[in-house]
Amino acid sequence: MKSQKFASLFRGLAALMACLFVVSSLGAGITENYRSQLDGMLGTSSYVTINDERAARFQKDYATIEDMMAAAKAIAIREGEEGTVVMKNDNDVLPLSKDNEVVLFGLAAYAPYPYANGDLKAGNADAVDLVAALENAGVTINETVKNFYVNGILNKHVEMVPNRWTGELQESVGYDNIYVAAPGDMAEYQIVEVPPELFEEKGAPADWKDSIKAGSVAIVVFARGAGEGNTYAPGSALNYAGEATGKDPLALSDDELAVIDVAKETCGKVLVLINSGNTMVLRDIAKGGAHEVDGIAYIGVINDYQLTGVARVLLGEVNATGALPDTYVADNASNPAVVNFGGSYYADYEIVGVEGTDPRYPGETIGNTKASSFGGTTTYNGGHYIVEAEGIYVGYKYFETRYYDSIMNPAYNAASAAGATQGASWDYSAEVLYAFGHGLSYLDYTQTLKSVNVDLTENGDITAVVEIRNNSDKDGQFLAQLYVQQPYTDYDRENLVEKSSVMFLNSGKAQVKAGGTADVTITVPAKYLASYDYKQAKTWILDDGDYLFTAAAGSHAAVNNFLAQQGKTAADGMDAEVAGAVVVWNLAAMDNKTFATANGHAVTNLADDADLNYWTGTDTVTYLSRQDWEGTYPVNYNDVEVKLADSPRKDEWIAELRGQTYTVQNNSPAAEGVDKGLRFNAASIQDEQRDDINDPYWDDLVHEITIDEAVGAVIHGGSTSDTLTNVDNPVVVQNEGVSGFTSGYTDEATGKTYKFNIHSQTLIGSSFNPDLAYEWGLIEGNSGLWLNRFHLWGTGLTQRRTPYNGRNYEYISEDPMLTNRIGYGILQGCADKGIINGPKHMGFNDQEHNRGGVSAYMTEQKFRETDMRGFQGGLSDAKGLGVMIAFNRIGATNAAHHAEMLTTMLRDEWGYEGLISTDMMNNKYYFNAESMVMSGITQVADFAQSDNHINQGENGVDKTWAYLSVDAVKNDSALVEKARENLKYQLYTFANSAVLNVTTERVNTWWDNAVSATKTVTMVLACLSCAAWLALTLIAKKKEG
Amino acid sequence: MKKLTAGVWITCVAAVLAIAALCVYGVNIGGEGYYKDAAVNNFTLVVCGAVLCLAAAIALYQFKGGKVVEIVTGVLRVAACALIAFGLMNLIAGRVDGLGYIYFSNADVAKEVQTAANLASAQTAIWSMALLGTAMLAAVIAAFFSLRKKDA
Repeated sequence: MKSQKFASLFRGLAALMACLFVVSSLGAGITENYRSQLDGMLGTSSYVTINDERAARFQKDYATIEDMMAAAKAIAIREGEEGTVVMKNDNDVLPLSKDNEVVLFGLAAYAPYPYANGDLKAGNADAVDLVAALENAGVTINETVKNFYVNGILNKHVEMVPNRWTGELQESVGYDNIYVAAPGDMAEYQIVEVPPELFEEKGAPADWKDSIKAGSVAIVVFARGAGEGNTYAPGSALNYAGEATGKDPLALSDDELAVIDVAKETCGKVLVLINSGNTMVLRDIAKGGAHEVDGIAYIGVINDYQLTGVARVLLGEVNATGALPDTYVADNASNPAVVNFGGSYYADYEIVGVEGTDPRYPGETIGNTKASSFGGTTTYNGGHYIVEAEGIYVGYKYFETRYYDSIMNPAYNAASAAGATQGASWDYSAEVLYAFGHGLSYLDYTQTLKSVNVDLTENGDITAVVEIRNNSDKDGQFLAQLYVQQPYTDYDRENLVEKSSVMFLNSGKAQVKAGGTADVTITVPAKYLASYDYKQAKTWILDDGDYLFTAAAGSHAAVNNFLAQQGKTAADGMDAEVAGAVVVWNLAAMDNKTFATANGHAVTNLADDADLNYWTGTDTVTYLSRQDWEGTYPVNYNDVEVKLADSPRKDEWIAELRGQTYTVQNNSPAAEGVDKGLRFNAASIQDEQRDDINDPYWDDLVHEITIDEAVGAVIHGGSTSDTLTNVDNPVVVQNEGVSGFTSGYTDEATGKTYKFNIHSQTLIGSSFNPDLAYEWGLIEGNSGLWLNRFHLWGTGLTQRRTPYNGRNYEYISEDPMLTNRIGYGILQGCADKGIINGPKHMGFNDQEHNRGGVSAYMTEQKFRETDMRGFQGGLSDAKGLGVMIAFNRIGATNAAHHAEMLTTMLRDEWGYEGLISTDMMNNKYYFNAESMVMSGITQVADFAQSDNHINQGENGVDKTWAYLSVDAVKNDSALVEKARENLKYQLYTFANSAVLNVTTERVNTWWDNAVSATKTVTMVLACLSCAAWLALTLIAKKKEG
Repeated sequence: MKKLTAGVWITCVAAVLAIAALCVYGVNIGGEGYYKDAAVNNFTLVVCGAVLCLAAAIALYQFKGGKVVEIVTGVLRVAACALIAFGLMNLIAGRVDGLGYIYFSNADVAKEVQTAANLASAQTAIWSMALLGTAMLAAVIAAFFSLRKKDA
């Protein structure tokens, strides 16, 4: 009986150990896939970085971490100093006097946006908020108002909130009243500004107004939140009480205006600070508004230290040199881009869906509805579209061109009612409150363009010399902005080549002594003078005629300079009498040759199919043309019935919407990879390999990669780049975010942690200072070297097409050239320190709403001169090393499938040699693996790791795209060779980065050891238990017998 | 009907729980939400195999087959445990990415990703795992007990 009992015990133990063995064996695979996430959660490190700093190609500029942090902080403070824009300054409200008490109103005055630490805000222990910044600068703040705001209204507290996962209560910082930090996806947006009538209810003493001294200055701060996956919906505002008002959420609410009113009632002067990355509507408080204030300043989206710089500007310790990166209008609806925004379905979008007939997914029903950008729906997500009918006329290019035409070209109907929001006819002065480039200086100065040289060779520059004259009695810094007007000719009108009446080119800053002058030399590649003619020449052209250059404090001042030079005055309708210098450069004959070749490649149309008319076969869309503002002003093309079935290219269109940009071929065997002993290491990669991607080493290296791994490594690029068999490249971990590396550096000696994501994208944009951008790039690069992290998604360069995009705080400007120059600075700075800094999200991420599939239709001129131009400075002119592609479609084509954009333009025309990543892949029906390989994507982003193969699914197929396998692709040599070429660029990028500074070695963490030990012990115990059980069973039976 | 032993009862519970996990899994891949049509390789086959092993073990024990039956049923019970564990880990491997998206995306995107359908889908996936985990536990406990009453 005893042996029977023991037999049962050992059978149970065998079962238990077998289970544990299976769990630990398969668990090891899961932990391997999520190694970096586990490391992050458990505080372990799976890789040891071996870094011989003496031999490293890229060296840190700072000897100690304190020096590094101090340098980073200094740049962040300068962003505040140079990015603060004084928009309105009446009654000498600015600079503030330390003699006058300041009264702070508004939730954001005490908790500036963003109030929470995270990707956007580092949260270092010595971070400075507005109260501290002003007090540190010697300003006295009214304590009564501060107390009831801080303790009564905001009441920052720790609250217990349920964990989303476990439901367990955990501590979280909360406020009783705070602005909504994330507006949601085209949802209602509540403006939670507490109106003054509730102040007493929220803790203000009844006599709080009596505490305010005569002569006090009120500073009122208003914020708007933003975020990934967020898009503002026009007309969606709710007031403090939660009632729908029908107002624009970016306009000031009645509650906010009531705060302004009480500030005006109680204080001598009122200054409003705009704390937002989304352009707000300030009509009510601007000149002539019903609630006009004395001053308005833009402070963007702040980070840990910028407010110290902001305070210095407010106090006049430094001159105000910031300028607006966007146009501020009386009504956002006046922007023609807003007419087509959000998107809706084609009339017959359902016909794209299939019921089991997609050969890639036999038997599956796949819909065509819109989906979350995080997947989860079986859909091609190709049903929604917008038409960017405004063309190049975004922001100031629309407003200033229409203003110019209203004076210069009456036949163009600029004064018609089309697009007017402030009256029966369109009037610039009623529509525009503050122009692009506007920013008031405390110190009186003039900027005069002295000379311009245009070098019309392929890599030639425009070189302009601007004289800055400081007319004040104080030394200070000043901003010079360079603008151009290209000729708008009969040829252009005939061929719909659109020209803005004014185009920003570049800017620079200089310190000038009191009463003195200084020359600022501004350069910019001459290629940006050309316009894209997509109808006739089908390449870049320079029209014959006069090119007018000027230096001016904003786009409106510049266009007025042009009008004055052309003989116009206030009598003709100009809103200012100006005489700014204009330098004329003449081109005698039209030039369609100079920029028709780039980097040795002919430049011609590559995005014809981005035009909706290409698909419909008719003139469904009329794109905005300045020659007829009235007749071509955009309509909402979601209100026009567009049927896929009516297209003469119906099948091609539907295939594209199903993601079938490329289909795997089966007629050309690919060569299998063969290990020839080459490896990726510092010994093999010398200057000749680093300098030339055509060095045979690179082709030889990638031809060691097997078919399985070549395709697998591209389509499972991960958020960590895996080590490739036969290559032995180091593991490269990708990092967020646009404010800098989010990882902290902990000094082992002191235990102190330093965080370097302290940058502000918005303030670097409004600084108008590419040199400062370069300095930030160097800081970002240095911080990467300190952190031993070499790959960062560290800036955003998408054009701000409308004010409503939730990612505008990550981007620079409505203007492609300002974005281009700032991008140039940041990416070059990082590249000079060997850091791969990939800007987001190339390819018209113009809205977050349905970003995972919406089609954005446009002309090729818009394609080339707007969003693409924003990225060109960093990726082509600078030696940027990485880029992230947008989620959405360009035309009907997924941006990540767009071979013409990624290979023809980016690689061939621009000469870009860095890596190209998708955003986080989340919908296999929308993202098509083979199309991404063929477009030139070098890494498809996903969360998993160690999955760089296409044989990890059931029966040796791909784990995501199950129709792919080695057998499926081995007879498509073009696909396999393209995958190897993509990996060549990836490895070449690593070789030209600080990745080559180091080798990484995988080490076992404690949890690796625990899993391994469990596997071994349970396997042994399972075997022993089984043996014991069998033996005891047999013994027992023998005894019974 | 003979009075059934604790071993049989617990084995039955394990089998029922495994079947329940399979049903919930079916709902998970059939219903709207993140995991719609997201079948896990061989999951159904493995769990069905485990249930069959448990059922066969109970059935075989009705026969007095001596040591051969004793050993075969024992092997079936151990194999059932291992198969359930295998299914459970495969299910976790196939679901962890999506659960990360749904529950651990940053706050900005929470509204977008935490739709009612996605949350329901995630919860169904978790229920399926929980049921299978409990089934595994029950099968292991059952393996410590004999399926047959001691002979008088």
